[in-house]
Amino acid sequence: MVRRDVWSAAASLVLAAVLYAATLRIEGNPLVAIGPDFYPRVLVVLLAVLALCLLGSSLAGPRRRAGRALDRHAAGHESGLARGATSRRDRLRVIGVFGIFVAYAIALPWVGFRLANFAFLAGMRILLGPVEGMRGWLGVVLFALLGTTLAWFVFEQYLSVLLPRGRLSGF
Amino acid sequence: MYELLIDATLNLLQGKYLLPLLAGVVAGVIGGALPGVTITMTIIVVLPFTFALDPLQGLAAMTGVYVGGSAGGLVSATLLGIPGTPSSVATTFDGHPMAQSGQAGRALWLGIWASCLGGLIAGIFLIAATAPLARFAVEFGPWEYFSLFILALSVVAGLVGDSLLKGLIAGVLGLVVTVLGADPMLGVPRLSFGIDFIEGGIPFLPVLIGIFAFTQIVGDVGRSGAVHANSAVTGATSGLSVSRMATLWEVVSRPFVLAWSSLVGVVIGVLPAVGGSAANMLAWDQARKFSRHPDRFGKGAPEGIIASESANNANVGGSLVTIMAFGIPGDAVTAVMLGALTIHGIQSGPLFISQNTDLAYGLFAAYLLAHPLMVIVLALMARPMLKVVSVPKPVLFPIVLMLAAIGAYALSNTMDGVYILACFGIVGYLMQRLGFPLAPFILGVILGDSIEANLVRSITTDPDLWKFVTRPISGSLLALAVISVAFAIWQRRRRSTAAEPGSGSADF
Repeated sequence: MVRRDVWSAAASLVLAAVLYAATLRIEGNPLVAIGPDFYPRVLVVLLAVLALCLLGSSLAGPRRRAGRALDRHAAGHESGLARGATSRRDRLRVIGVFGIFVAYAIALPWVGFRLANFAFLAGMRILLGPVEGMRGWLGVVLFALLGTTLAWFVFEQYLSVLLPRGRLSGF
Repeated sequence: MYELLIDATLNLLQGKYLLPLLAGVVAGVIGGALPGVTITMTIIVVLPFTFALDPLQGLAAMTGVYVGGSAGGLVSATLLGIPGTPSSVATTFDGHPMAQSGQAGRALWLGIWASCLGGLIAGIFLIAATAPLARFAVEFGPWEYFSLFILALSVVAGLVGDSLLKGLIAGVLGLVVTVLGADPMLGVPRLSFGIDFIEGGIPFLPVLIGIFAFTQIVGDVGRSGAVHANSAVTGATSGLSVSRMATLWEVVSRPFVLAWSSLVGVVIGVLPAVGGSAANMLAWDQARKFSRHPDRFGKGAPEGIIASESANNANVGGSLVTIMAFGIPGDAVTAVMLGALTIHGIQSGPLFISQNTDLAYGLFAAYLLAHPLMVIVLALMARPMLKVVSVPKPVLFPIVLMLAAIGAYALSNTMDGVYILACFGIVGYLMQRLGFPLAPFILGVILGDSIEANLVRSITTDPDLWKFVTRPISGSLLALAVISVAFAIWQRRRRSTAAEPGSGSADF
């Protein structure tokens, strides 16, 4: 937990430094007393101060069992994540979820909603599994097909929300 | 006021408004009953469907989701022993034991009536208090608005999560998100780092959708066995038949528990980003403390169910007060509603009621009508819903993410929303893994532009920074912010000292 807080504080400090450097490149406006760089600079300085406090408290304060237990409870209550209860398989699954979604987001404008979404639903269903036997795989295909068709029909045809067409596929 | 309310109610009884309201209630009840699907996720899923509707239809649908979802959680809480939403955790303490003793119907209907009555009690507060609060807020200058938003952020940072420092850092990070892209006052490009979809600024709705949809889903995915958890009915459905009037009398004949728990719910609802999860637990705890038989709590005490369910539905009314009077979302659900208003070109805040009277009273009417609709829906659907709650998560989660992506895309009909959703889904997950609470982050993203605009306006009007302190309302709000931070520090010190006697400094 201490190492996690130290890394968090360090990352926040780096972020504050990068942002502060970026604020120096913001063009001011001579017509106004407070330019567009004022507020961002206040924020990044505040972020840096808080990050230093976190760094200080995590390095200097004794790690207490009660504090760790309270953190686990608070984090578990808020997110449903149980720290320390993830296997390698679960971690890979988490990476897989993000990976498939990012691939979906990248593919959408290129292949269009109908193709990308079919692949997305199928991919996620397979990842979250289990898929067993021919029936299982047929179920995946039907799930992806039905989900995509329904979504396209409801949103494009009924609600007039035009979904992306693919630049490559035109579909 | 009453004429406006009556007119709005009659207007809402038309099919074109009643149907979306009913659909919202049904969706909310189902979403609330499904363990692992929060009311926030349900409203995110419903959001894209509201784009084609007019503002009142969309708001009616979302209000229906909110009310239905707050009550829907009690179905799985009582019958399965699994809270459908965080706001029905305390319902499991007494609802499930009562159901297991063969009184499933009584447990369910105590909860349904308590939800309905608690929500309607909050409705009185909502209608009576919102307009006067809004009129009071109209007198605010930029100093007061700035201070009010700072108070909201400090309260949230202090109440949520275990580390005050991390709460404050999360809040500041949320504010930092809002300075990426164009400056809200002059439109000067800044801090976009050459990334196209940031140049116009980052809209908060895809951030919200990304964070809540992903963290909930990925949280389950990352927990061993959670995705394939079997939510089989444990046989607690015997005794579903019950006299509904008798259970109504049981609730009404406990007026103190009902009224006090509803009040707790309303007060918690008014506090930004605290939500129904705190309301139901606090109300249950209070009911137990006030009870002459506290030992019966946790074993099927009807007061436990009444307290929890009346508080979590009253919380909805409280949240709506804050968003309608001040434009500050009471929780994630009202944050999404705020986004929906923005999409329809409507500015929420103190002028919302005066500038959009029909819409405001329509929202009041939708809130009131949603409660009897919720009773009817639960009466018809309680038994069939047991089949619905066993939808496997490997089927449910991809659908939720698909709808989240469609919702993010539909906001601007460009891919920008989807990219933002993906980025902040990752950011939200990382924040949570590192122990940073998300509520202050989200509130920072929502309020950031307003905080900057009011800060700049106030300093431009009068460069004297002491004005923030010397103006009575602004000074009082800032003092409250300091007090809330001090209180949070004191609470944590007390908690650390109680856990380990003789320990020294606080961990904040």
